[in-house]
Amino acid sequence: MAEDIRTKLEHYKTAPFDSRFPNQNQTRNCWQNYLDFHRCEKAMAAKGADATPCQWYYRVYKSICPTSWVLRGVLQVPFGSLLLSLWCPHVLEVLRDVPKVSLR
Amino acid sequence: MANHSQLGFQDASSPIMEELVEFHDHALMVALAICSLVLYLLTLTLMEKLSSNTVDAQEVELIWTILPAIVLVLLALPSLQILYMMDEIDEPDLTLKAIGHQWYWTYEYTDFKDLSFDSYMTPTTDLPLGHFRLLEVDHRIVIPMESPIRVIITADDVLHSWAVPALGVKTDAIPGRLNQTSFITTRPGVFYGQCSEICGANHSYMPIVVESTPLKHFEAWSSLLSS
Repeated sequence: MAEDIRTKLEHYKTAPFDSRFPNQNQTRNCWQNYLDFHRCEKAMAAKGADATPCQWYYRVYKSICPTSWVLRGVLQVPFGSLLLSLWCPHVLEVLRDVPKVSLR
Repeated sequence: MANHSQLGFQDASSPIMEELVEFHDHALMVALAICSLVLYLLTLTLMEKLSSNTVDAQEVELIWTILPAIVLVLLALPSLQILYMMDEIDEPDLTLKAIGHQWYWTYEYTDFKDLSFDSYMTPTTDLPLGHFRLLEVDHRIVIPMESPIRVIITADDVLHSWAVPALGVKTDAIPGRLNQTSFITTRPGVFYGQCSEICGANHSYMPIVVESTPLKHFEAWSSLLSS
C-alpha cells in the first residue's frame, strides 16, 4: 500500500475525478482534502508512522483550493467556517481536527 | 474573437462547442419550418381560404397534437445528448484556478509549483497596432492544446462569470464557492472572452484570454514564469 501511494505521488498530474463530488460545486472537495491532510498528519504523528501517504491529500487540496483561501486561513477560522457551513454542513464539529498552522 | 457586426457564433475550438453549433443550426431549421408553416396558414386565413362549417374536427386535432410532439422530440434528443456529453468524466491533465476580482482575474496553476499571476486588460492607450480593443490582457492563460483542462472558478468580492465563447464555456464566479468546468481545445490558438456577470463600474473591462499551444511550449512558458 505504501508503495502504491509513492507511485501515485510520482505520477501525480492533477487532482483526479472524485466520485464523492461529481457535480459542479467543488467547495466541499477542497475542504475535505484539506481536512483529511491535517487529520492524516495528526494521526501519523500520534502513531509515529511515516506521513508520506498524507502528501496525496496535500497535493489534491493544493490543486483545488485557491491559495488565498489557505493563506488567509479561510478554511480554519470560525468566520471562514461560517462561510463554508453554507456549502459544507457539520463543519464546526470537525474544525477541531485542523491545527492553526500556516500554509507550508 | 468576434468580428465587427458578427451575428453568428465564433468558430468552435472545442468538441462541445462544435456540438452546440450543430445543435443550434438544427434548432434554427426547426424554428424556420414552424415559422414558415404559421406564415402560410396565416396567409390562407387572411385570404379567406381556410373556412369550414364542420363541428367534427378529429383529424386536424390529431395532426396539431402529433406534429408538436414530433417537434419536441426532434429538439429534446440532440439537446439531452449534448447535456450528457458535457457531463462526461474526462480525467483532466491540468487544473487551472480562475479567481475574479474587481476588475481583473487571478490565475493559479498549483499542481506542481505555486504559479500565480494577475491578468489585467491592456488599456486602449497602451494597445499596440493591430491588437484587439478591450480584449487583450497583460498576462494570458497558456494551456496545452488537445488536453482536458479542469477550471475551478471563484470570486474574491462580488459575482463575476468566466466565459470563453469559442470553447463553449461560461461559469459563474461566486464568492465562497468553487465552480468546476472543463474543456479541451481542438487546435492551437488564442481565444477571447469577457466577464459575463455585472460586477461594477469596470465589468466590461476585465477580459479573459486563453492561449492554447503545444505541450512543449506550455512547459517552456511555465518554467519561465516559475523561475
